[in-house]
Amino acid sequence: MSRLPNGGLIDRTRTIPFSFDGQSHIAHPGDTVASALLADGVRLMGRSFKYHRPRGVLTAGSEEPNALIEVGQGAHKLPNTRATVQEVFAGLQAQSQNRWPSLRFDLRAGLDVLHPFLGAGFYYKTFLWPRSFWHRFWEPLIRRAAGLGRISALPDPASYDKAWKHCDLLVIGAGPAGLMAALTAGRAGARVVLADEDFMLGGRLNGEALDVGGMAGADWARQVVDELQSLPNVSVMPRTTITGAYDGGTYGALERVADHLPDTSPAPRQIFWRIVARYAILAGGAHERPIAFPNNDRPGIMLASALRSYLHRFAVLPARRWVVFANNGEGVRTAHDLLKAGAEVTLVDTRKEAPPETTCRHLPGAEVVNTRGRQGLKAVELRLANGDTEWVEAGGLAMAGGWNPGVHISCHMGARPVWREDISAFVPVENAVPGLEAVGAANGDFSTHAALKAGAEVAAEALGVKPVDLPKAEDAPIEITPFWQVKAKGRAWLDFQNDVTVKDVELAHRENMQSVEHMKRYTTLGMATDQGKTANTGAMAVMAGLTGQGMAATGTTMFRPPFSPVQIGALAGRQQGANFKPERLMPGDGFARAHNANWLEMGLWQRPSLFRAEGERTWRQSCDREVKMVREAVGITEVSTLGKIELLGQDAARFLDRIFLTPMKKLKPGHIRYGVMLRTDGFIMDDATVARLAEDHFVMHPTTGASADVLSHLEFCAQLRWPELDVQIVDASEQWAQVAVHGPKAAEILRGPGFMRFANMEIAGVMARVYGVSYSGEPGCEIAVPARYGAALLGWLLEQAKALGGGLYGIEALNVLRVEKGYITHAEIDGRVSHHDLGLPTPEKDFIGRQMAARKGLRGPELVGLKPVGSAKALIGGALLVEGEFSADNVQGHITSAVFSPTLGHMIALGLLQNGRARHGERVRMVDAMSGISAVCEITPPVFIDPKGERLHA
Amino acid sequence: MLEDNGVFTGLPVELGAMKLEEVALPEVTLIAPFKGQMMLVADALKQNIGLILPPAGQYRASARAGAYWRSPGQWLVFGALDTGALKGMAAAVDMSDAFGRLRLTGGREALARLVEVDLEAMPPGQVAHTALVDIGISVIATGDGFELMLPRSYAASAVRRIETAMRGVVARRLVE
Amino acid sequence: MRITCPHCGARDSREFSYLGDAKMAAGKGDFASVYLRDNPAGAHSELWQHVMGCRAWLEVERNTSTHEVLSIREAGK
Repeated sequence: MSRLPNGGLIDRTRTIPFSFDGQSHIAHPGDTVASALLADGVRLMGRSFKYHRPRGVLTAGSEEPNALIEVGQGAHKLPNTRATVQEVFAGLQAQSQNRWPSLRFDLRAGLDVLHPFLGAGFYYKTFLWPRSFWHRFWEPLIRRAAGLGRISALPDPASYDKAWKHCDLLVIGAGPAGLMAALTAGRAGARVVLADEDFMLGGRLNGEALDVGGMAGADWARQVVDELQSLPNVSVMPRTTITGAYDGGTYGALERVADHLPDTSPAPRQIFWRIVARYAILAGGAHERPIAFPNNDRPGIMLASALRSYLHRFAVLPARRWVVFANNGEGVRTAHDLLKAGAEVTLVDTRKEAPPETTCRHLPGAEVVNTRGRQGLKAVELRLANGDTEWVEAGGLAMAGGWNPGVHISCHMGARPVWREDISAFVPVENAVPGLEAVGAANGDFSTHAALKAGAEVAAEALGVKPVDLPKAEDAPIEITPFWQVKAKGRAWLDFQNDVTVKDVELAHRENMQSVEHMKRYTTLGMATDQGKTANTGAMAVMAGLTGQGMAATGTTMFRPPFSPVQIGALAGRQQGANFKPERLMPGDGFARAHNANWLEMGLWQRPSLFRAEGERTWRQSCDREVKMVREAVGITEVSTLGKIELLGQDAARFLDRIFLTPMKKLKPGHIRYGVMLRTDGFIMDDATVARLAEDHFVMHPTTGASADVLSHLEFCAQLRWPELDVQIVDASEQWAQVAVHGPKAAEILRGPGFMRFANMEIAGVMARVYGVSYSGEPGCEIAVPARYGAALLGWLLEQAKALGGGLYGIEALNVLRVEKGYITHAEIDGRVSHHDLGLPTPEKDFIGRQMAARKGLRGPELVGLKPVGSAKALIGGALLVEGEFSADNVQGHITSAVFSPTLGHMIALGLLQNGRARHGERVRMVDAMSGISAVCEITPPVFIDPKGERLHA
Repeated sequence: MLEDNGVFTGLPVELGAMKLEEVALPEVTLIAPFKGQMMLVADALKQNIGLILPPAGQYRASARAGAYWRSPGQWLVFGALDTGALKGMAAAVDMSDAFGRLRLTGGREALARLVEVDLEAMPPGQVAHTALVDIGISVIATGDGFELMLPRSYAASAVRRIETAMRGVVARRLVE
Repeated sequence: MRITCPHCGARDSREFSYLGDAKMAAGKGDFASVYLRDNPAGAHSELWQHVMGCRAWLEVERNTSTHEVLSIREAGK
C-alpha cells in the first residue's frame, strides 16, 4: 500500500469502489484514477503508441502522455481519457488501451525489438515493393495496429449544451495568480469568470507544501474560493478548460459537467461555452519538463512536480526508494518532501556548482545514464562527475527538467512565444491576443509571491480598481542550468505519447527536416492528444543543439486551439439529428397533417409532397391521380412558402424596372407580370411574378429557395446602389398564407380577377389578396389571407373542391403540372443560364446585369422540351444529351427536369441543348452514365400542354 | 368567417421558476417613412397614438401603442393604427400575422444557451435583433424577463429550442 | 470574429453575411467591377449585411491577415 497514513486533500472518511482492467480498487473522494491506482501499488497503466512499451503515469495533470485509459461501457465508452484527470466515481469501469491480450502481456511489444527499423518516417522508405502488397496487406495491418483507444462506434447517448457568457474579466487558471486576480476584480464588483480545468481549485498550491498568508497553501486557496463563490458577480467554473482564444475577446471553454458522475446522470455531459470578455488574464501555470536519458520511459519514472502532487494532494508515496534527477533547485525541494514521507533519496543534480545538500545522498555534476525494470522501475544507472558509473536500486525516479510557461492560449492568434535565456523557457509575447495578459508561472515568474502579486496588479490595472492585499509567500528565484539530454547509449524519449526519441530527431536533422515544423511532421513529435506539452521544448533543444542555432532562433511550432481534446458532441450541442436545423411550417401544416400528407423538406420548409388516398401504395399512384384531378376538376395546394416582398413609394416602379430584365415601369395597377432578374455577371438570379396593387405599391413573389437572397439583393440596391430612389422594401412573407386553386372547375369555387390580374376580395368574411396566376397552366388563382386564417381557408376551399370531384395536391403533382406547361424552376435556371438561353428578348432599357449579359459567351445551351421516341421510355433528370457516340467532347446539353405525364401517358422532360431552338423535331440521345440508361428523344418546344395558353384565357 | 388558427401549441411550459408562455399580439404594422417625410410621420404618430418613434435598440410604449426600430428607416408599431393618416408619407404594411411572441420569465440562464447578446447587461426596454441559434428573433428586456418576437413559421422550432435549453439548465443544476 | 454593428453593438460574425469588396457597391456593371479584385493581405474595405440583426448593410475595413476591424460604418453614408 502506497497511501500515506496522514495528509492529502482527500476525504478518508468515504471510499469509492472502481475497477481497472477488471481488478477492483478502492479510492477516496478527491482521487483521480491515477492517484488511486498508485495508492494501490499499481504502476503499469498503459502501453506506448508505437513500441508498446510498458508505461506508467508521468504527470499529475491534463498534459499526461502515458496513462490513457478507456472509461465507461458500451455507447458511453470514452477512449484516450487521462487517468490523471478522470475523477473516480462509484462503479467506474476503466480499461487500459493499445494492448492485446492484456496490459501485462502485450503481444505487439515485439515491435519494440524491431525498433531499429521503425524510426521516424519509416513508412516513407518501406512497403514500396511489391506495390500491390501495400493495399492488400500492409495498409490494413497498419490501420488495425494504429491509434490508441477505440471508440464504441455507437451513437453517443449523452447530451451536450452550448452556451454564452459575458464578463469584464476572464481569469484562466485558479492557482495563486488567478485567485488573486479573481479576488481583486470580484471584490470590486466586476463581472468575473474564473475557470480552471481541475476539479479542485488552487493550482500548484494543492501539490506543494508551501505556506501562503501563514497557513497551508491549499487551505488559503480553499478560503479564497469560498469567498469567490459567495460573490454573485463571480462565476467560479471548476472542471472547465479554456480551449482557445479567438478574435474580439471571445474564448472557447469546455465544462466537463458530468464526466465524474455515473452514466445515469440526466445532466448534459459537457457544456461548450463561448465567453466574451473585456479583459482576460492567463494564469494557467506552467508544465514541467522531463530530461532525456536512455530508457527514461519506464513505469515509476515521473516528473518531480507530479511526485510532489501525489505526496501532498493525494497522500501517495509510489515507491520507497527514489532517485531525483534535476537541473535546477527543485531537486532539493523534491528530496526534502520525499524524506519527510519516509522515503530513501539519491539526489542527482546535473549542476556541478549546485550547493551541497546534507539531508540525503547528493551527487552534483552526475547524470542518469540508464534504467532497468520493464514492467516497473527497479534500478537506475548513474554516471558520477568523475566518470564512475554505478547502479542504484530504486522504484521511483523524479525528473525536474525546468518549467515551460503555459503560453498556448496567448499564441492562438498566430503569435510565437519568445525565448528567455535566464529561465531557459519560452514566454508569451505581450499583446499577442488583444486584451489578454499572462501572469505568474504562465509568464515565466515562478515564485508564489510573484504569482500572487502579478495576479492582483494586472487585474487591478485592467479594471481600474485597487489590488487586494498580498498574503506572505515564498519568493525563491529559479536556479536552472540548462540540461536537456544525457549523452549515453540507448534510446532516450522526448515524446512519450507518440514514442519519439532523441534518435528520431537526429534522423530528422540528418534528412534535412531541420525547421521545427518539418521535424514535427516528420517525426510526429507533438502531434498526439497531449500536443507535445511535455515533449516539444526538449525536442527543440535537441534540434537547436544539432543545428547550432540556439533556442531563440529555433523557436516553436504553431499553437492552435483546442488546448486539450474536445469531443465533437460538445461542439454540436443540441443541434444534432432532428434538431440540426430549424423547421419552417406553413400556416396549413396542421391541416395537411390531418389530411394524410406525405412530407418533403425543401430547404427549411416542410411541404406536403402528396396526399395519399385509400388504397394507394406508391407515390406515383398519388401523384398521377392528383395531376389528373387538377387537369380535369380542381386542385387545392398551399404555396405559402413563396416570398412576398412589398415595394412601396413613388420610385418603386423605377426601382423594379432596374432590378428586372423584364420591363416593369409601365405595369398597370391591378396587373401582374412574370419577370426575370439577372445578377451583375449577366446570369439569371431568379424569376418572380410582380403584382402592381397601386401606383406606388408592388408585391413581388420570388421563388421559395431564392427569396432570402433576393431580399438581400433588393436591400443592397436600395441602400447602396440607388440611395436616391424613394422606395421602401418590406418582407411580408410570413404575413400571408397563400393557397392556389386551379382547374377547369376552379371558377365554380371562386371567380378570380382574371388571368394576370390582381384584386382585393372578401372571401369567407376575410379580406384577401387574389392573384390571377397559374403555375399549373389551369385557370384559377392564388388566394392570400393573413396567416392566421390559412388553415381555415384550406378547409373552406377543400369542402367545395371535393363537391366538384377535386381535392388537395402536393408538390410532386405541382412539379408534373409545371413541367407539362414548360414553367421553369431553379432546375432550369441553375445559375449558369442566361435569358438568351430561355429565348427571352433583351429590352432597350437599363437593368442590372445588362452589360455582362451582352457578352457572346453567355449564349449557351437553349431551353427545349424532350420526349422519348425509341424503345426506352425513361427520361432521367441530369442525364447528358449527345449526338452519336457518347464521349466527354460530344455532350451538347443535359436534362434539367424529367417527369411522367399522366396527361400525355409518357415521360416528358425539359432540358438545355446547344442550338436547341433550331432543332425542334430532330432527335438526340439521352445518356445517364451513372446507370447506363440511354434513350432516344425527340426535341420539342418546351411546352407540352396547351401551348397557346387557351385554357388560361378562357 | 374563417377561424383564427393560433401560432403556438404546447404552451405554457413551466419548469421550476422558469416559465415560457405566449403573448397575444395586437395589430402590428411596419412603418417605413418615405424620403423627407420622417418629421411628418413622427408628428402623425404622436397625434394618432401618442407615441414618439424610438431610436435603435429601445422599446417605447404609450398608453395605446408601442414601437421599436426594426431596420434603418423602419419601425414596428404595436397597437391599433389608422394607416390612412400616413398615406403618401410612409409605407404602412400590416404584419399582425407575421410573428409569434413569447414571454420567458426566470429563464435568463436558459436563454443564454441560445442567444449571444449580453442578456444580463440589457436594461428593461432594450431591444436586440439577433439570432436564437439559427432563427432570427428580436429580444426585448422587460425587467422581470424577456419577450421574444419571432417569425411565425419558426414558432414550433423556437419553442422546442427554448424548452430544451430550459430542461438543460434544470438538469445542470442537479449536479451542483 | 466580432463585428460592431453601428445600430446593434458588437455581435458574433455569425449574425452577418459577407458580400465582398466594397467596390461592388460603386460598380457600374462592367467587367472590371464585376470580376476584378485586389485581394490584399492587409486592410480591406468590404461589405457585410447584418442579416440576423437589423439587416443594415455595413462597410467594414478589416485586416484580412489579422481580422482586426479598423473601421465600420453604415454603407453608403
